[in-house]
Amino acid sequence: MLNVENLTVYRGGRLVLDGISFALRPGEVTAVLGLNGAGKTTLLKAILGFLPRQGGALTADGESLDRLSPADRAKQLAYVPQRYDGGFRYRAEDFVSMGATAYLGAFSRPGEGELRRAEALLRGLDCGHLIGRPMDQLSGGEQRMAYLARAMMQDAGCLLLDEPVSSLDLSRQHLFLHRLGRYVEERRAGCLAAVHAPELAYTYAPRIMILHQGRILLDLRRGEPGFEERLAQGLRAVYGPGLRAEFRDGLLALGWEYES
Amino acid sequence: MRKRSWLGLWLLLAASFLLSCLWGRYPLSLSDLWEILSGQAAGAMRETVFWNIRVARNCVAALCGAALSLAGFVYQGLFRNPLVSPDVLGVSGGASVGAICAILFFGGSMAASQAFSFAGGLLAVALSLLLARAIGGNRYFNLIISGIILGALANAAIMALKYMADPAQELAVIDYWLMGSFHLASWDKLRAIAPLILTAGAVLVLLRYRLKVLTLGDEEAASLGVAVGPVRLICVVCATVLTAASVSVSGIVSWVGLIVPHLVRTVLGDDFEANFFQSILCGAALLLLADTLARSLLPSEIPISILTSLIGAVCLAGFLIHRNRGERPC
Repeated sequence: MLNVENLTVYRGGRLVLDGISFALRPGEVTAVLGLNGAGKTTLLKAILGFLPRQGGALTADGESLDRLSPADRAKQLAYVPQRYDGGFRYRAEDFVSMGATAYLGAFSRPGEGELRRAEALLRGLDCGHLIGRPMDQLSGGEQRMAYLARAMMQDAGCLLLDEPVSSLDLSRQHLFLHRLGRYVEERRAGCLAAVHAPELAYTYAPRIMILHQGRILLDLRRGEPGFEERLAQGLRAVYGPGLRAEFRDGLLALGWEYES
Repeated sequence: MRKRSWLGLWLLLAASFLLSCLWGRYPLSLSDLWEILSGQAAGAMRETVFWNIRVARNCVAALCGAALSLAGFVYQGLFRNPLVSPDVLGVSGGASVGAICAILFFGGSMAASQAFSFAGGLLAVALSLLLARAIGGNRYFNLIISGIILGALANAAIMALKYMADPAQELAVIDYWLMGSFHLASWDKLRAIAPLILTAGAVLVLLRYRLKVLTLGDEEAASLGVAVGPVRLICVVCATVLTAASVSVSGIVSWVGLIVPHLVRTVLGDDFEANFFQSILCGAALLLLADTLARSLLPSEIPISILTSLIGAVCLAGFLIHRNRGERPC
């Protein structure tokens, strides 16, 4: 499992992450909430090694991530970026089978077996109809599902997702997060997902972290005493005192009160 | 459908080769060809024309066409931009400076201009890689901008060297070189470039799946387990060797490396690994045909870049109009 200790990152001379520490647990989705620019993306990219860090230690299963080869890192961390940005055209099953890259030799390519497995993963997500279709012609929601299938193909110890549902319509947001949660639980994988909507985090993430001004303001598990009250307090601290939060039947409803 | 397009490409290449062997200022007929190949006494002249002029030249032209197209395809993948040419890092400019120096200062012997242009091309790309590292920042942008800078420097050097050249003799040789031609192709030249082109091509064939994953972008490729830096460097070096080797025997042959991968994608459908091999076959056939036209259309030989630029510009305009009507086949 991923362990982050005292992670510190500067970007353009500005301190963006100020000594972040946490550890992921197997089978548990952790949602990271925070304002735009709070450092959610920076956190994910620094863990993945895309950004230089100025301090801190990253380990997976006790081994330093810095010392792993690219292929071994890929077996520890799978990544779902914010948006699909393929420069060329790939069929969906082709795209999913790229998740097997880390398990192939430097000169090999996925064979029939990998392709069949990619197709099976897509069917398992009720996305069998995507097989044979080019990625750039899929809807945003369909592309997300292909990413999830690819992450499952990669079979990494932890999944890191950067706002995976922000651009989707309501039903697809729920569908994606539901499938993600089920996979993480079955695979006993760690999962860190930057999420914009507190309601979705409350419903689908057993653990919620709030990132604020470069630090972890709050790190809560569902079922802890005072969970909902503390979550509401944390949200008000970040979004403003006007925020109203109501918890009912396992749902979080948010509203806003203006001072007249 | 897919099988048929492969068969079609091989047939196209074979037909271009055959046509190119027969057609020319000294025409050969199919029965001449049969006599030569079956070892019957066909006449020394015909045998010389066939083996030492046509076949040698065709092999060089086909190999260069394949090399330039593959280099263009690889660069387009690396830069995730379908409109990038093998020139993007300044290889042609560097090769031209090398060749012109050989013409001006070393009497223009074939071996010297070949060696100098090859070295010039590699040097230009090495410098633009170093410059890109010094610039830092976005990895696509800084490579392209340093390629432009190196290209401009090479251009300045070319103009200065042309200004110094003797207009009666050397200037014409330089201009002819800059427009490209296979009229000096020979078995010796083939022996000089074939090992380089085949080695670089083989490495790229082996790495083609890594290159495909790299077209997702650096970060995604890295997260999937690709060693982005080393793979990119190896691909750039191999593509540069392909370009520099072909430019060193033929001079500048413009547009082939840009247009062939594009043609293949548009006509035969977007499929990275299939397009990889289709570019090789199609590039060889296209340059063979262009070379045949270049030496047969007029009583004196036309520089080949005149034809490849003309064909390339027309094709590119056609593709872009076609694509923006949303008719790209999958």
